[in-house]
Amino acid sequence: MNKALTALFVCLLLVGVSASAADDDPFLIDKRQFKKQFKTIALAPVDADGALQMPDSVAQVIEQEVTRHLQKRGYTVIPTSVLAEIRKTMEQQVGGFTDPETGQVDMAKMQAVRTHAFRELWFQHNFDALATIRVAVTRAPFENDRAEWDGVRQKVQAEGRNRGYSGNIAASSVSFAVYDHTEKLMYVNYGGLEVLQHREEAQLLPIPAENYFADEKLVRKATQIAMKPI
Amino acid sequence: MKRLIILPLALALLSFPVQAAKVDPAYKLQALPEKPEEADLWERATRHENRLRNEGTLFHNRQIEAYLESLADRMLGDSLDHLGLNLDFVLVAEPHLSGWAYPYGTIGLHTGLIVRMDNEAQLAAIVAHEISHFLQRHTYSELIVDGRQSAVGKGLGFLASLALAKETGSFDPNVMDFAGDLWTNLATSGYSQKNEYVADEEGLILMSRAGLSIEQSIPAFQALAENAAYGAGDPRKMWSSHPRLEDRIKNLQKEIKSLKRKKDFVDGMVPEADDYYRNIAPALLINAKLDMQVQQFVRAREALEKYLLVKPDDPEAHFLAGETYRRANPTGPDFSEPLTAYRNALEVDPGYADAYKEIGMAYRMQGQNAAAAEAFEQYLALAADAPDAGIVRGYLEGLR
Repeated sequence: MNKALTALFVCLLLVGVSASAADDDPFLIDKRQFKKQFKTIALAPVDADGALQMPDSVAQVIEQEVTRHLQKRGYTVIPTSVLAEIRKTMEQQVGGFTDPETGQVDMAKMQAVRTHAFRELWFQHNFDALATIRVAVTRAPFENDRAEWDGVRQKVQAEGRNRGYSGNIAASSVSFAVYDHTEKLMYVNYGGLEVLQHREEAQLLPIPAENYFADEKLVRKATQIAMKPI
Repeated sequence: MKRLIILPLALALLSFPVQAAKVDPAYKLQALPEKPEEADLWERATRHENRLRNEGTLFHNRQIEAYLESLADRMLGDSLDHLGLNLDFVLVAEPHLSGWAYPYGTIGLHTGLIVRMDNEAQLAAIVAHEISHFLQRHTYSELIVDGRQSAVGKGLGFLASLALAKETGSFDPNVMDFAGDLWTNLATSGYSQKNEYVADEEGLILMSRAGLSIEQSIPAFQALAENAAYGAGDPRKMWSSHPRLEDRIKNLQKEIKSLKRKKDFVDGMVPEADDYYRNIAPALLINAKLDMQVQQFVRAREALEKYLLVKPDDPEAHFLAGETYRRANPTGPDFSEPLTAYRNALEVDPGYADAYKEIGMAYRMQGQNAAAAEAFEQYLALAADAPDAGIVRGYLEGLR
């Protein structure tokens, strides 16, 4: 492949990336309108990609941080336990999600509970917006054993000589999203949590899942970054 | 003497790009593709089209495809018969307004575009425009002959991949993955303004050949301009920005006046809206559902209203109309509009269980417990095994 053309193509891709990053305003409506329109925010239970095996204690830390931040900014918060309780009741009402005979998960029932639970939350509580919090796997650009993504910069654990490797490495981020009563997205932002791979010579290898979320400070920091613009 | 040498050289340099960009329209040729590099372009476009046809968003509907094919036949007559080419259509279930032409004549249309038009002449204006891009071989002339590199942010990925293919002799499929998504974008808003004007003007001729009023091209393009912001964050957004479309509308208005002044010009008819809605009915329904998924409830309702004009006995459409009201304002306090729509659904199909459920939900929100309970009971009588039947039983117990 012609090197100059390769460089051009890479540059074009980079231009595209930086252009979209510059437009990355977490508010999908005017910030002042957001503050005026939303006073009470209900929290959906903190969720995570299955691969991350997030312990409940981490979900609690994230919720604490979110609640503290929102209350500090003058919002009234409906805790995740309210929606969780509604979901639990409805799951019992539909007889559980797993077919006792086949052991298969009934997706239609899961969807029914999800839809009804949100509507019930609106019915039981007077609130303006629903917030979802999720920890998800993402790609972080790295160079010289340093990864930088979603507002954080972290060292990549490495063995072997650093030959100036660069590329993308698996990492996790906390996302915080706010929806209005029509389920329209009003705000979404991400905070980088931690790198999920380490380097051994020229190879990137996964860090064992049991080592994730080991540093509570990182969890709190990622949540704060995701929340900061609010 | 020096001046004499410089002058022809300058003229030669000035005229070079014009000569290089010279590409004969399809109907003037005896065979297509004309050259190997055009054949190569067609092959890549075919690959993209095939991939699109295998994606979940393909909207395969023989009724609408046949309708579009007959519309194209009326515009083209036998002008392409000698080339052995048949115009084909590929429909994509996407609410954003998009249309594009592959270099061999297949026209791509999003359902969002089809449903925003109000009669056959308006749709013809868009289809004729895309057919003109094909007839004039604009993709070939701009991508290969001109080597135009001005479509940064729109189709440059495709241009870069073409350039890579030229260099390496093979096409990098990874690059195609990136660039292929941008094919349609380049093929519409990526054309030069001059070529867009040519396609707009030739489109008018094609419209009149089909017996359709060329003035309907104005509301068609105005609808595109009004909807340019819809899906603006989507890389697949095809239509140019407002000012550019507005310039093109002004140019179209001039061209329409000029054509109408010609002695032998006979303007066509403005077809009935209802006939058009009947022909595109499946697209109206599916696009309303897509618009609802992205919280575009007013657009969804407009499409459903058009649909119900020609299919008043479809309970699902009445129910969905109710959902557009309910979901736009789920906590009320006024539920009269969704309730009316749900009752309309039951009027045409008394067994439409979901309508009873939503009537129950609306009454429950308003504290009209007896009416809510009655509706929930009817829902459960019709849908005892529904996935949410247990939840509705829970509501019912709470109401008692």
